[in-house]
Amino acid sequence: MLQTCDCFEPVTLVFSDLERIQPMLNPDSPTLLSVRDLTASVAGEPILKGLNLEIKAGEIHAIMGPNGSGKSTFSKILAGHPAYTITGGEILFAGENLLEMAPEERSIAGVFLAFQYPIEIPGVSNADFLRVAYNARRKAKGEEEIDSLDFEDLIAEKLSVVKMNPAFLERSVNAGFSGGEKKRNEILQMALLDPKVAILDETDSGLDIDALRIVADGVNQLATAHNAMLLITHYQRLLDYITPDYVHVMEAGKIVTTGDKSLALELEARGYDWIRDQDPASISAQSAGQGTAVEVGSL
Amino acid sequence: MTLSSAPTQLHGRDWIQQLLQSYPAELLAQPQRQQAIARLSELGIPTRRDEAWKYTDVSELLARPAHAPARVESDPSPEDLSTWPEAVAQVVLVNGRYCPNLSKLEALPAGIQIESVNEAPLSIAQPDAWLLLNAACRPETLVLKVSGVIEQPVHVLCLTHAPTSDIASHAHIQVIASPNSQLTLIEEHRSSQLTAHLSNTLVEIQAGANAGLVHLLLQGASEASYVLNHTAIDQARDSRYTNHTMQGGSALTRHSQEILQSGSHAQTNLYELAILTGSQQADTYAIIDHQAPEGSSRQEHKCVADDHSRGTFNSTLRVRQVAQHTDASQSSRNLILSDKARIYTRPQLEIVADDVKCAHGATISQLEDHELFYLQSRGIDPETARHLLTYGFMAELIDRIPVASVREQIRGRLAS
Repeated sequence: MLQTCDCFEPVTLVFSDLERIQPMLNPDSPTLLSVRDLTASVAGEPILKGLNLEIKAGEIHAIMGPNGSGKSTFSKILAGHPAYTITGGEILFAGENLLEMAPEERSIAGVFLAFQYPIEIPGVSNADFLRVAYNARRKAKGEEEIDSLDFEDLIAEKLSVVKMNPAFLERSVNAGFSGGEKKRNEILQMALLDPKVAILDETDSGLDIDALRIVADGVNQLATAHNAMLLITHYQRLLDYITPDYVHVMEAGKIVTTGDKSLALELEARGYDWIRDQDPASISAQSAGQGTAVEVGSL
Repeated sequence: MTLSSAPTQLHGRDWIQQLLQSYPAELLAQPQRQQAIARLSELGIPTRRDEAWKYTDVSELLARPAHAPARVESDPSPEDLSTWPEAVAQVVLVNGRYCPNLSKLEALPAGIQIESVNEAPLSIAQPDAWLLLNAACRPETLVLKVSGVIEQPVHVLCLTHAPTSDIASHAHIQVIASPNSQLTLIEEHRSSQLTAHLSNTLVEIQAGANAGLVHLLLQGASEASYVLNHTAIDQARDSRYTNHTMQGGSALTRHSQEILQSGSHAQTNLYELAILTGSQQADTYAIIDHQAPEGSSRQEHKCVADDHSRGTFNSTLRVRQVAQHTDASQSSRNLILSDKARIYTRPQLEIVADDVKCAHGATISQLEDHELFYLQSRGIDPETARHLLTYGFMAELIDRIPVASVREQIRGRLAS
C-alpha cells in the first residue's frame, strides 16, 4: 500500500493515511480539550445549557445536530468570539483555563477555528495575511520572525495540502473567492498554523463534491496522533470522507448522545426527531456494538 | 494697499490686513494684485456659512497672524530637496518662488519649457478669499509648457522654508499641455521645519485636445501646517486627466478642484485618499462640470479618520444640457476609527441632460468585530488586526498610484 500510494501522492499523505489506518485512539493520550458543564448566552438568551466534552490527542470528533442547537455557538466560544457570555462551567485546553485567554492567545496556544463564513479582507494579500499570522505565533514563542522569501518556501509546501494554486497567495484574503476556495483557504491556514485542536465549523456547507473531497483530504493529512479535530456538521456527507472516532448529537444547547460513525448514518436515515423519541441509553447501546477501532481500521 | 475700506465685520479682516501689511507695498501696488485686494475687501475669508467651506474650520489658522516669508540665508537641506527616483526633473519652488539653482533640470526633456511670469492675470471666474490672497501675495507664476510625450514624471516641489513660524507661502503654477502631449506631474508640498505655516497654492491646468495628464498631489507638509490647494482644469476634447491626491499629516489639508470638460469625449479620474489622526482636518471639495457630450468622470474618495480628526467630502457633479452620453460616478467611502472622529460627506448630482449615466454613493463604516475576531483567531493581536483591516480599506487607492517609489513610500509609512 505504501509503495502504491507513493507513486501518486505526496509523501505526507502516505504517512498520515497510515497513521489513520492504525487507530489513534489511545487511552493514555493526553486530554487536549475538556469542557465541563458549559453554559453560555448571547444578549441574555441562553444558548449552551450544560455542555460536556472531552477530547484527547489523536481523536476526531464530530458534533451533529439540528439548526439552532448551539453547534456553531460552541465552536465560536472555543475560539473566543466576544459576542457570547459564559455563564457557567469551564473549558480546559491542555490543562489551561481557555476562557481566560484572548482569541489571539488561544490561537497561539493551538486552538484553530475553520470559519463557516470566512471574512473577506479586500486589499490585504493572502500571502501577507498568512505571514503576519505565522509570525505572530513565532514572536509569541520567542522565535525570530521569518521574511517573505523563507515564508514563500514554507507556504508552497502547505499549498499542496489543499491543492491550491500559488496564485491564490497574491489575491486579497477571501475576496471574490468561491465557497470552495474560501474553505480550502481555511484548511491552508490550519496547515500553516499547525493547531493542537482544530474546530471545523460547517466546513462542508456550500461545497461541491470535488471541493469537499479536497478539503477532507487536507484534514486527513493534517490529523496526527498529537492533535485532534472537532467537526461541526449538519449532514453526514462530510463523514464519508473524514471518519470520526466519536459522533456527538447536540440538541438545545447540550450534547444529548454520543456514539461512533454509525450514529451519523442512523441520524441521516432517520432525522433528528429520532433522537428526541429515543431513550438516550438505548442509542448508546446500539452504537456501542460497533467498535470504532474496527470501523476505522477496515476502511 | 490695505483693507482699510473694508467693513469691520468682514470675516478675517484683521488677519488679512496683517498679512498684506507684511508684503512690500510696491509688490502689492501692481494692478492685478490691486484688483485682487479690492475684491478681498468685499469678500472676507469664507465662513462655515459658505457652502464650499461648510464643514471646514479655519478658526485656528485665523487665530495666528500670518506674514510674508522673510529672506532665508541658508539653503534647504538635501533631504528637504530630495526627489523621486523616477522623476526626470525636479522643479523647486521655495515659498512660491521658482528656484532654478535648487532645481534638478539637467535631464529636463525638450518637450517641457519652464518660465516664470511676474504678474499673471486672475484667471479663476469666481475666486474665494483664499484665491484672491494667492493672486495678491504670490511672488510669481510658474508656467510649465508641455509638448510631446514625456515618459518620466516631473516633480514639482513646493517647499515652505523660513526662519520663523506663521509664514504664508503662496504658489501659482500653470500647466499648459499642448494637443496630444502627455505628462505625469508629481506636485508635492513640504516644509523644511515643523512650525506652523500656511501654504496656499493654485494650480491651473489646460489640457489640449487628446492630451493625457496624470497629476499626483502629495499634500501633507508637516504636523502644524495648513495646506490649501486649488486645482482648476480645463479639458479640451479627448483629453484625459487623472488625479491622485494624498491628504493628511497636517493640521488641515484642503483640496478644492474645479474641473471643466469643455471638449467632448474628455475623461477625468479623481482618486483621493485622506488619512487622519489627532485633530487633523482634511477637506475634498470638487465641482466636476460636464459641458460637452460623451465625457466620462470618475471620482473615488476614501477617508480614514482616527482620534478626533475630521474628514470632509463635498463634491458636485454637474451635467449640462449639451453633455449627453456623459458617464460619471462619484463615491465617498469613509472609515471611522474612533468615537470622536467626524466625517461629513456630500456627493451631489446636478443633471440637466437626459441621456446620461450617473451614479453616486457614500458610506461611513467602522471596523467590524467579526472581522477583527477572524484575524485574532489566527493569532494576530487586536492592534495589528485593526492595522491590517485599515490598510486593506485604503489599499485600492494606494495600489493605483502610478509612480512606484511614491506608492512604496506610502505603503512603507502605513506599514510601520
